This record gives sequence, structure tokens and C-alpha cells, in this order.
Amino acid sequence: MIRPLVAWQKTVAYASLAFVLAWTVFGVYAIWLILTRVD
Amino acid sequence: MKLSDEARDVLETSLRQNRTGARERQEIDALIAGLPEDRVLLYKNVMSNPVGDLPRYSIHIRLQHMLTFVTFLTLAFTGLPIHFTDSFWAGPFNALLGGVNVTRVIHRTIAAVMIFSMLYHLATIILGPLRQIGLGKFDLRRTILPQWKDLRDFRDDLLYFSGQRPQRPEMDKFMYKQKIHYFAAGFGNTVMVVSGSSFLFPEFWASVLPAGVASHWQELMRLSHPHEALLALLVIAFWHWYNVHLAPGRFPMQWTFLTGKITREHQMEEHFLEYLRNLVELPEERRYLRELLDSRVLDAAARAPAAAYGADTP
Repeated sequence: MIRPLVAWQKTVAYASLAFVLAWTVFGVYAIWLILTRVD
Repeated sequence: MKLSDEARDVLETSLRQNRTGARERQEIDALIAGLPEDRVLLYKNVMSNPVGDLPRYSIHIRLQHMLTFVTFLTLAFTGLPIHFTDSFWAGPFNALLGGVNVTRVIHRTIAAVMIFSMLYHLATIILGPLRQIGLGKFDLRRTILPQWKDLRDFRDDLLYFSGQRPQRPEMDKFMYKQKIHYFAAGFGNTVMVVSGSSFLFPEFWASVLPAGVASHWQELMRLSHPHEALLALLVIAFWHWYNVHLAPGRFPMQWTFLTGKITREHQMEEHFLEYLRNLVELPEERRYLRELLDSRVLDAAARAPAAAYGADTP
């Protein structure tokens, strides 16, 4: 059993998660760019 | 719980290296004997602090992770508008920073910080074990170097996840998945540094490579740099971040990279051999386990199997 997160821990953890998900979207865009590039 | 020969050997090595007294040995043996054979029942019913209970990473490793984290993101973010200079979005982005030449300077400066981080890490992984050897506390199994056991662990974990085995294998401080990830990152960093330096110092590479190879080398490096970056983006976004943010038991975030500590539940589940060392090295962990066994929580959980494995287990 993991104790529930307190308020500040929730803020840090979910902000970090949001950042990660936003970066994943950026990463997918970057991958699309590289794979569709015609040299 | 009856320990496997492998786990017993890890425990005996730790007891010997820590010069554990007879009384403490008895205490540890009694605690292990009192643990249930079903490790899932155990780790689902221990109390864990979400930010971590047990030591895992030193301040040096945490600083190196932070440096890698920041430099990787910045390099990817500045590398793309350099590689795709002609794209409609790259122009405004580069203009915001002061032009593509400024983006290049930032990219190279951050690359130098990344190389410093690699050297810092090399110093840590060389000096750390030397110190442990000096103290008589070095155990190769506790390092990230691959062992034959990792292949067995991989097979056993696949069997567990396909329902062919009741428990996950007893894995060490670093499990097979982390070892693959670590060496992939090491390889990727090396490719990026070598290829990046080929763009910055082509004369140097031409002088050290055999005649006629230099131009092919530059071609190869021009292909390697963006494609290794692409691979790294894939690994970070879909592997690493899944494992430390989204995986059951880790959501919404694993705190180890900040606190240096791992939760008791996680340690017991994925790093049971390291947990045995924790029992030897940390008297407070022995106290916790004694209180847990005395409270009969595990006995009660064993009698009510539906609730014993936690709400998140089907």
C-alpha cells in the first residue's frame, strides 16, 4: 500500500506528468518530421 | 519464506561484508522465516511512502540524471530547428533565439555540458566501485553490468506476465530492463558525441581516419546524428517515461530521481535481492518488518485473498 500523495506531491507529480505528455506530443511531431523529410 | 540458493548467497555475502554480528544474523533469519512464501502478498501489504523508503541513488547519480534530463531536452529542442532550417516553424523559432547561428551556439554549449555529465558519470562508476572494494563491500551482482542471471530473469518475467509463473523473479538492484536501457543510452550518447564532433572538427577526424574514408565517415555521421536523436526520442517518450510515470505502481511519477529513494513495495517487487541487503544494512527496516509481522496484517490478508493483493490487481 502506497500512502496517498499530499497536495504538494500531487502538484509536482502531475505537473511532471503533464510535461512528459506534452513532450511526447512534441516527440511524435519530431519523428514525423524526420520520417517525412525528402532530401 | 524459504530463500532460493541465489537469494541466500546474496544475503550471506552482505552479512559477511557488513560484518554482521550473530544476534543481528539471528534477527534477520527470523524475519525472513516469518515472511510469506507469496511475495505478491508481501509487497501489496507493506506500507510505502510515495516519495521513497529505501536508499537507491547517491546524490552524484541524481545530479547526473538531472544533467542528462536537461541537456537531452534542450539538445532535442534546439537540434530540430537546426536540422530543419527550411521548415516554416524553424525560421521564427531560430529568430526568437537570435538566428540559427545562435541556436547552433546554444546546441553546442549544451552538448559540452552533456559531455561533462558523461565524464562525471564515468568518474562515479570507476571511483565508486574502487571505494567499495577498499571497504570490502563490493558485489558485482549489485552493479549494472549484465550477468547470465539477467537472461533467466527476463525469461521468468515473461512467464510471469503470461500467467505461467506465480511470482516475478528475485531480481537484483538493477533488473534486465534497466541494464538494456542504460547501455542503450550509453551507446546513444557516444554516437551523438562522435557524430557531433565530426561536424565541429572535420579536420581532426580526417587526420585520424585512413585516407579515402573521411568523406564516407562524414556522410555516415550526417545520417547517424538525427537518426540516433530520433531513436532517443522514441526510447524516452515511449519506454522510459512509461516505466517511470505510467506503469501501474509508478503512476503519476516515480520519485527516485529526486529523492534517491525507492518505495518499499517497488523494492520488494522488482529488486528483492537488494531488499535483502537493505535488511542487513538498515536496522530501521528490520524494525518495520518486525512490527509488520507482529501486527498479523499479512496473516489477515492471506485469509482474505480478494483484498490481499490491493485494489489495482484484477
